[in-house]
Amino acid sequence: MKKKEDSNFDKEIKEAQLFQNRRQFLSSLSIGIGSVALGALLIPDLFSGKPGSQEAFEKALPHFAPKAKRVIYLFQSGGVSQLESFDHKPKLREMMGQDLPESIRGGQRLTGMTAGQANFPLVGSYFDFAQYGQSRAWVSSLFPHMAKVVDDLCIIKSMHTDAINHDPAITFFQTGSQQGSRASMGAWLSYGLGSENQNLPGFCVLVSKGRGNGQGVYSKLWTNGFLDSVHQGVQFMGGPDPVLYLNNPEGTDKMSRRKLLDKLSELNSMQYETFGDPEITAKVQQYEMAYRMQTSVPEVTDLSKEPDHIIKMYGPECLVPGTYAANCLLARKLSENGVRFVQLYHQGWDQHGGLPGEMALQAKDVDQASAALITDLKQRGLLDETLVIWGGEFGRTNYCQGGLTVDNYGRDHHPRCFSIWMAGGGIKPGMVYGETDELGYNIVKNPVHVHDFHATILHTLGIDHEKLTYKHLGRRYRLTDVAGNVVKDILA
Amino acid sequence: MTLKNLHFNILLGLNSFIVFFLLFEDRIQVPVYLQVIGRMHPLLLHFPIVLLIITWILFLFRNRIEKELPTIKSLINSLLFISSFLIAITVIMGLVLSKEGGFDGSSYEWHKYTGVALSLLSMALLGYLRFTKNPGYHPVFTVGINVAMVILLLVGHFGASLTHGEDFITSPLLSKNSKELDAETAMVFEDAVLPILQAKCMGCHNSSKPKGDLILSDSSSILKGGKNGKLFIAGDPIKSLMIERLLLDIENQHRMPPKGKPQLSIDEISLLKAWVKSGGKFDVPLSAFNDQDTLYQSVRAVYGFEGAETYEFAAADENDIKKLTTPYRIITPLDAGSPALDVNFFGKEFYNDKSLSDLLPISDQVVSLNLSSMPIKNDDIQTLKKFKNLRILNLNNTKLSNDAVMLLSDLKNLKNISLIGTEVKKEGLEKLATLPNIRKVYVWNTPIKQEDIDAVKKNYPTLRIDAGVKLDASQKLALTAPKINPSRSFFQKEIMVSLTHPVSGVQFHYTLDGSDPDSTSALLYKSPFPIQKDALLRVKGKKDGWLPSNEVRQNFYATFIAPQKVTLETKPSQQYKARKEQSFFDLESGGNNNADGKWLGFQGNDLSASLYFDNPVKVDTLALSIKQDYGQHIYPPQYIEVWGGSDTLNLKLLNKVKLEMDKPDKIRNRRIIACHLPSQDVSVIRLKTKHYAKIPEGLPGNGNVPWLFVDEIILK
Repeated sequence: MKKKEDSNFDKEIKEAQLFQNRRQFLSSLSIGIGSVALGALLIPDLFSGKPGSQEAFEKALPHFAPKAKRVIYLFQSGGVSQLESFDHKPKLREMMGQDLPESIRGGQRLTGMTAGQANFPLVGSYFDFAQYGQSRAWVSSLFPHMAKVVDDLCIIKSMHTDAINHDPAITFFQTGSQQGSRASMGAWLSYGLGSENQNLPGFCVLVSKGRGNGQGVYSKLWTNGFLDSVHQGVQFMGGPDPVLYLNNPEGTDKMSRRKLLDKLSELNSMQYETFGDPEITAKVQQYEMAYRMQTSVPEVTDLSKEPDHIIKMYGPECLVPGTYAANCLLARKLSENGVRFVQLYHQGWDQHGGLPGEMALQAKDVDQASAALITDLKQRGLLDETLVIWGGEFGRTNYCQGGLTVDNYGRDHHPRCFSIWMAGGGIKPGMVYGETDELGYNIVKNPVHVHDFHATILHTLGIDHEKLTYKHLGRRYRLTDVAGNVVKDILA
Repeated sequence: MTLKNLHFNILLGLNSFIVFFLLFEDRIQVPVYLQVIGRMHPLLLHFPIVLLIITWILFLFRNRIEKELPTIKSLINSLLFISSFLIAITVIMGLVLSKEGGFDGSSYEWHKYTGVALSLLSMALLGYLRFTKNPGYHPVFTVGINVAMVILLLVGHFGASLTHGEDFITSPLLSKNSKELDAETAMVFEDAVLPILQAKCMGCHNSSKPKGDLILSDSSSILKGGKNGKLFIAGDPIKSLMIERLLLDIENQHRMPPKGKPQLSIDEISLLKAWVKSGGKFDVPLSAFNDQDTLYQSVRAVYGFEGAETYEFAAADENDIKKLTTPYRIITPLDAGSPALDVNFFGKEFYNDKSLSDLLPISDQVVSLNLSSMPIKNDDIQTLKKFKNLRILNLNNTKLSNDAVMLLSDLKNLKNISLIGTEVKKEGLEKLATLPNIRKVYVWNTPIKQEDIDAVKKNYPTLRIDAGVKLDASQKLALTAPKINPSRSFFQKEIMVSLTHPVSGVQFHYTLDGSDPDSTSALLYKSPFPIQKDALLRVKGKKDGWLPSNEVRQNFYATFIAPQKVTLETKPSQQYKARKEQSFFDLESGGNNNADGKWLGFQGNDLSASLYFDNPVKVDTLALSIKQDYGQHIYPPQYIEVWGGSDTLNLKLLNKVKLEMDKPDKIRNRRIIACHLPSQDVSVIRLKTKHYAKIPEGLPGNGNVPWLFVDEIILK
């Protein structure tokens, strides 16, 4: 009886090894019937397969020569109003207080917050607009610094999304699906391109709180979803420990930590020999990465060597850990050090009421540092290979939510049109793309859907969005699901 | 009717139909089902071509073949009939197909008429063969069949141009020069404007066919204009005749190019507009324009610039690449299938003398190398010079000298070099500018001055030199607040205090006596200093070129005695229980966050704590450190009582302190409630607080149950 159990056990292990190796083998060959046949012929040899699979860490490659190598995504959580930032609508000021015609609203669903409103009085921007740069793009007076770098930006005024509430909308932007549990964009890139610098995570996340009405930003937004856990976003905190649980415990020095890891990895590879579970090697790799991060993270997060004028450029706030400005500066350092995807979130853009006051504070938080990031990357010669994105999860309505006074109003969520900008890495500089109607409610030219946005980002990184897939639960998943067109017009 | 008559009559019928079709082309409507037949034109046409060629070859060699094949004449005869028949059918199909529309231009016209001519000629040839009495071939027939061959070639050529485009065959030779431009060397007129005029306008406006007296083939003719006047007004596209004509409605009779001719694309029109706007000059290089300029952008939109480079060299050995890749030296192909490699170094403490030379086996393949912040030495340049295919080199923040940079001029393929933070000087920049392929140099934060850059640019106008942004030195910003370490306020006997700031070189002015740190009595911080008694530390940071920071204040409270044991008789809230009774004497002060594990919160029940001492002590003062935040319903207690005695059974009330509430607009975040005690020995002290049952009228949250937050008890 005992013997039989043993042999059953052996068999299971062998099967596990066979399964594992076959999968790795087939995926390392190009997919196709030919490789299946070849794989089938060679499978007996695979029993001698050696451990030490680095699959998860091995570098994947772009499908074609990329323009951008890295992405910095400055996410403005809450939904920045396009009407007070980049979409200039003088008509709204003229028609202040008049009701939004039903013909324009066109049956657009409303949120629960304004569904009960008897009428929808139009409201123009409290802030003035002016044209800047060679591109003569309109920028509101809230963003004087961005206005100065407007010739480096490609402003898209015709973004639209499917979702009308924060969580589904931000999840949609981050994962390509309104429901959670899919892999985040940064995770897809880490999976598709690997980490450039193996001493830092390929996907880093920085969160800052704004001064306006805030909405939650949760770790599900930087999840690896069904992808391997090494692709998960790693959050850098504003405190004394930028990455949690990275430091050695008190009383442990670097040498003994090294010895411990060596011993542990010996034990782990013995375990791998026996079971062939790829999670074991992934774990070993993660320990090693964490060990290397013990050196690389303090180096990256140390801002003390930044010269004064850089500090001044980002604004002195950048010295206060956890602020947006500090995160922008840190994002530059991470990106400079080869982090594939740096995801910032700045909360507080949800101006249902008191918009003029709150939005001014929010803009003050982000304007200088966002523009400084562009300038800083540019003068280092990095903007050519870094794609910077700035924008929220949806726009805001052209009509007022709640009471309307001369200097106070609010705006509800609006998915039909909103403005974002992109800069660097293979995107045309000094361009304004797409148009909305006179009242800023519907898109009249060159709409860009969230799926198109994803497809375009992947394109700049040398990835064909239809080819970057992962098989899970019996079907192949993509960041762009079954949609998305590359917006060729904005490619440099 | 004889067979030969029948054959000829069929052909005659078909050809009559063709002529009829041509004459009444405009009135003929082709039913949809016939379109299917029409579309088989490209399929069928190959048969008559081949048959006619075979007929011709047999005819050419008829004398030689006749010896072995006496019936050669009748074979030629039959083949010619089948060819002619198929030609006629093909022509009819072609005419039907043409009625679907979509064909225009000279190739189409030529194809149509040569095709018809071929059909008629082949019919005539057959007629001659069938009805002549001459046993041989009349020279006219010989001429005729040779002419038929020539026409056949023409028909085929024009037809192919229709389906594949005019320069389908030669395009591989032409496309590189005519389509993509080199942004650095292209001339605006010659390389961008003229090709559009050539393709879309010169068909009618050339020296042999100057419609409207306008010739567009050279600059002087263009400047001369046509019979309607000058072509453009430099700088004003809206008033320029050429642009106006381009933008007219397609139905307008003055529109150019007229309806039915190949039209300009939107990008091409905007290119011409931008060219006129820029002054309509003939000798300006494209590089004279900023890359955000409309002209530059539209040239890019029409032509595109040289795209991804193709590399001639062979790929490196994959094993070499694998062997040389470490976590600190990442080697990757540019994309899947490219032999070119991109190398990035990370982690300066892992860089050594061999880090670069190890790469020599793959030096031919490395096109992009990032050594930024690595401790490379000037000698490493000798190694670096061997990477002769380098296109992009990043040496930012390395300690390279100007002389070392000068040596890089051996890298003939270099396009883009980043030298920020290095010692490169004007001479180095000049040397790099001589490189044949160099396009961009980044020199921010180097000894190079703006006038150096201007001087170099004068000689090398196409080179982009990016010196970064120099901020206005007079712009002053306020320093952020200095940091006081440690952040806790409570100490026993003595506490060492240090001041720090993330900006280097900040000086700290501080006082401990409550006076203004801007006053003359303020001290200048040199090194950590001790505090031995209660004090208010006020600090300001100052530095040249900055405005002083806001003031930072921190109170310090000395506590001299700690009890050996503390018990809590009442329970703190589950949420804010900190380390329960341990928290009273841990010297830790609570922060903004109520749940930081340093605050003890009570709601609904009063605080009662007992302090036990092994040896009787004399206590002058007991002070309670509490938090106040009315918005969060955190209020001081109504009063506190301190009881004392030799043991828990013999406690007397030592003092009771009633508290005034701070006005909401003058609220202190932290409040120290001091309670003086009569001089007497005690072994046990019990502290009791009495809270308001409800928040009183007129205060935020009135009617709710208030909170009490305590972080420390101080004994003196």
